[in-house]
Amino acid sequence: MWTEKLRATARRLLEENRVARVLAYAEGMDPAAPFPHLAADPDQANRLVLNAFCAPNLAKYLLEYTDQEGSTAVVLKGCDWLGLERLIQDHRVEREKVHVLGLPCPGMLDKKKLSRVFPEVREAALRDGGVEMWAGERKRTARREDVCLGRCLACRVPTPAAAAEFLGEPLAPAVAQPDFAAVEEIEKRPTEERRDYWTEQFSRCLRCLACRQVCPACNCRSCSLDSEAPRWLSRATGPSANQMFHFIRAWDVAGRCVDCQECERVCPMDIPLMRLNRKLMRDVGELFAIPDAHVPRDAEPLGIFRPDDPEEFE
Amino acid sequence: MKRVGVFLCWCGSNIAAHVDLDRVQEMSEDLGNVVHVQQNKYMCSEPGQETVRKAIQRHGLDRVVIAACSPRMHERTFRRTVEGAGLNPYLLEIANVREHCSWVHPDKETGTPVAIDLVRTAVAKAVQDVPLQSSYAGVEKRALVIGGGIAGIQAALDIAGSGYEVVLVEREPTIGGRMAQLDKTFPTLDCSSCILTPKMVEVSQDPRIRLLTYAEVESLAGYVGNFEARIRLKARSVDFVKCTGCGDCWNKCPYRTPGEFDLGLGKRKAIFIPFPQAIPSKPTIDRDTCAYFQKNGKCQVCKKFCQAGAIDFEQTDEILEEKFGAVVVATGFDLWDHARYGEYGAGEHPDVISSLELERLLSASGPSDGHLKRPSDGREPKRVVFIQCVGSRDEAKGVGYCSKICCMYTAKHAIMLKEKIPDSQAFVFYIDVRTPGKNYEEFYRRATVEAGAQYIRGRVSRIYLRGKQLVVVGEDTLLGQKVEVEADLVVLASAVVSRADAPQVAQKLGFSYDNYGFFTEAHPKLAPVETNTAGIFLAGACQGPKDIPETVAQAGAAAAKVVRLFAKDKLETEPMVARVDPEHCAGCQWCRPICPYQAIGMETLTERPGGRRVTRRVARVNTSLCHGCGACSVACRSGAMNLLGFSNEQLWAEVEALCL
Amino acid sequence: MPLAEVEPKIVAFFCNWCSYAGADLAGTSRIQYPPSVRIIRVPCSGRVNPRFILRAFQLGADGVLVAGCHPGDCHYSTGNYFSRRRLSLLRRFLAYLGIDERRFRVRWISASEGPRFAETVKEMTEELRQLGPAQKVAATSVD
Repeated sequence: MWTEKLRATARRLLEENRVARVLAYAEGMDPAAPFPHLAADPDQANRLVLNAFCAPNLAKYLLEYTDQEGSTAVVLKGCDWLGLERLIQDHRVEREKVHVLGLPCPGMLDKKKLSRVFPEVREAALRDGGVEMWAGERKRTARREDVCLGRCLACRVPTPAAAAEFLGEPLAPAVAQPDFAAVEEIEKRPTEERRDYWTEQFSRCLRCLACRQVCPACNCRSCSLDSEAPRWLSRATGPSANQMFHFIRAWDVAGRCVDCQECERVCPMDIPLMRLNRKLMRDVGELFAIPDAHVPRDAEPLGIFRPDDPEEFE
Repeated sequence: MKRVGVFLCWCGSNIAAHVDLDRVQEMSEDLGNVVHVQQNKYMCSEPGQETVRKAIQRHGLDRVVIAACSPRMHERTFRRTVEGAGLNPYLLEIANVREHCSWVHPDKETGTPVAIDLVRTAVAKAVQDVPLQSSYAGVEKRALVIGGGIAGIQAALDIAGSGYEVVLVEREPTIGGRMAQLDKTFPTLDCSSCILTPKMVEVSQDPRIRLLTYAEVESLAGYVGNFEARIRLKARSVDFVKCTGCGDCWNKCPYRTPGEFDLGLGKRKAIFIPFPQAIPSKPTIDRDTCAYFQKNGKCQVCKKFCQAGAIDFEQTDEILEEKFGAVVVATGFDLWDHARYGEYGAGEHPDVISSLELERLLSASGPSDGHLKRPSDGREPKRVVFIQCVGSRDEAKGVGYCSKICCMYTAKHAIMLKEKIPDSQAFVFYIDVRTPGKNYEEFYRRATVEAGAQYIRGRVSRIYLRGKQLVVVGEDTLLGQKVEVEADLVVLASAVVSRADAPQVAQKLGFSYDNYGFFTEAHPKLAPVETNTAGIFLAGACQGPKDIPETVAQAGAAAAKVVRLFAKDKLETEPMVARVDPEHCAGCQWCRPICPYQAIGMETLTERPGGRRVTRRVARVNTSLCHGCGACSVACRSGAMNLLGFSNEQLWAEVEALCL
Repeated sequence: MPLAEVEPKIVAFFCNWCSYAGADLAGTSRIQYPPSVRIIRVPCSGRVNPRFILRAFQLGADGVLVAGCHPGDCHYSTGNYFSRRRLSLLRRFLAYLGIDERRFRVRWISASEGPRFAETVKEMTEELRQLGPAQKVAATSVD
């Protein structure tokens, strides 16, 4: 249903020359793993798909077209849209050159969960009661919590707050407030346990950099992690380099993370990266009285100050 | 591979007695990149410096580390030393083994390991040093002074008196400012006009001062030595080239409106000069009052009577674009609106007036020709109540600070009241009387002893009408009892506050302001007239409440700073400044808000990847504005922004050397 | 060696204008303090990149001390206000990663506060002695 609406919209936008290209998804070898796809003329619109497997955030792909003529239409869910706002506030994407196709999103499916529940799945639809899935003739139903991404079950922004056009009716958030329970649980542990916990988590890191690549807040032209002078980060994957890597990655999105949780989705080693991001998000909000610290603003929490900020030092 | 020379200073026994320098030498000789180590009893002495210079040449050193006293002491000395041997002065590092080591540790056993660490760290930093150069920018030797009150007048006269051109911009039709509105001045009771107007005339006659009244600065771009201002000359509807200032027009004009200069207590014409001694002495048409503009071209009386043919109803605003090397901001102050105090009548009683209104009522050129009459019925007031700290020192409703001038001008008012109306009585409600200034305390005593003013310590809680009688209710906190005073006139010492548009002015000109809208000096003690934007200086009450002597002194100081800039043909910029690597800059601009000096701008790069022409925006540091604090380099995630002299590479190397 | 005899190592970042001058004053006043602190001079506390701090801990620093002008007195007018924000957040984050928050201190030390600087070093050294040596994460600078 989304797919038809998307194709019609894309065709119209391209035929009327309203946009130069449409950034959405296309079906791959595995229909349950669509990949980002660009349609640059009306004939290509029929290749586009949009379904419950379209978890990847497309906002960051806009960086590829910043120096191209014309505007780009892009399909964005609520979480993705915050990523776009991040890119705009970081002056990496011009608002005027983006035509947002807002998708009110009821939740996306989690490939990792599906591989346990119904690995052959080729089609799926979210219903009120649960999720219906098909693989050819075979049909299964599952509860949402068993097949949807964790982030979707606690989604605060299902619908983009602003879009050039919407591909559906706006949806209400699943929860109003973020849940920092996982952060608080770690905070309660003794110092040594926290250290051991993170050492263990970081020890699994392959330094594949997928978390950086997917993150809309990690949008520098060149990354200091690749820098030779100084070499902030050793090329080795030892405990200190891994710690430094995760420190730099999380710190550099402190106050800037939009809570889209793409980093966790793409991490092949299931490192709980959001427990770093959310720690900083929660503290930024509390320390500097910034409600909704995940929403990009025209001032960064660490790029401003108030003379009456909390004074914790003597 | 670098060639580092390490020089260990004994500082007599100051260092040598607490650090085993032979051990430090042995350790230093083992460090990578170090090719020469030498000790000297006094490295800063001329022979000591000569050994450094000789060693640089003999051993081909390209980096120098001197372990001696604090770099805050002799860094400059040793930079010159190495420069004398042909080395770039920034290829030098100091290990502070005296203040941070030998002087704070009791013996060689404790001192030596610390010194070893400090030297090793300095060597690591030196290896990362790069040669740095100053850059130079020209200076446009013209000053822009904004605001034509006593502060701006004094600054303009002092700058012009030093031989430089000045453009003085005033938004009202005349210069003179607040001081022109005053009757007399404390603590001497000089007539304000008598001491001010000669200075106003001097401004108009100085060939180096170009006076632009009824004008406003619209924008300011550029940086120290090279500002560009856009100035709007508002249409006055009078051709100043033709006008002789004869006065026929304003005498004949049939339309009147409450005059701003008299705070609405008197009237002026639609074509007017604000007061008789106004400079320039040529009129302006107030288009909001003039019948020609309000009633479709009717009236034109002024035009009929103007023999010079100077009336020009078609005149339009004009925009001037001018270059300046420095700017003095002297935009003055306003008074707090006492109508915000409901208990003082919320501005409803005509006989409850502000102190500035009293000045106009006392002034011989004021609406009552110097006869003190109360506004409601023109009667001479016999019992006058003065209330201090109206809005001042009141965090809840007004402002937290002390307005500084009110205690003294109230003493002045009490004295003048007695002089004008000998059978009058002044009552002053005060919280504290503050008289820090030359002859101020004596002047205050004159008010209490000679003029017999009755000072009552306490706040006034209410002013009300009992029948037709104003009654002031307060508390005498010294006696601990309620006081009621029947008053013919009540004068409120309203707080000195910043101009309503001060924040916009500060934003437009590019410097900071405090929570109250007063402009912020670069340093409260050591840079009281500078702003944090190089080349822009402050004078007068726009920076905070001030009396006339302080304002004049500050204006002179601001002028001296301008003249000091203009004394140079080229401005040398500090070499240890931030630098952007445009290759790595993503143009995110988050370095910009963190810069206290607005030193970071954006520029557009044009590139041709694969033959296709594309542009992108990158940050650019204006080295004339950068002070080298390095905040931007920490805000920059990619590392594109770096601070020369304290670079990421240098600091990283120091941390690593220290911990190994 | 018993713990108490191991001198802890404190890597310190001091702003040139206030705190470094305050440490100089301790020197000119001959105020003695433990030989534990090593000061890296920076123009402003706002120049201290959190990466420097983590690096010091990785390489085995027992403590890190950042000092700057008192808020409101910054030589660059606002640098230490930004530091205060950044370092408040950093202290919590380091603790979260398992670096004891007692090992990381921030102090505002003016150029006239030589005695206060010496006191700070004494206090911190004592506390670090109690805590015992920190755990190195990196063996060498190439780690």
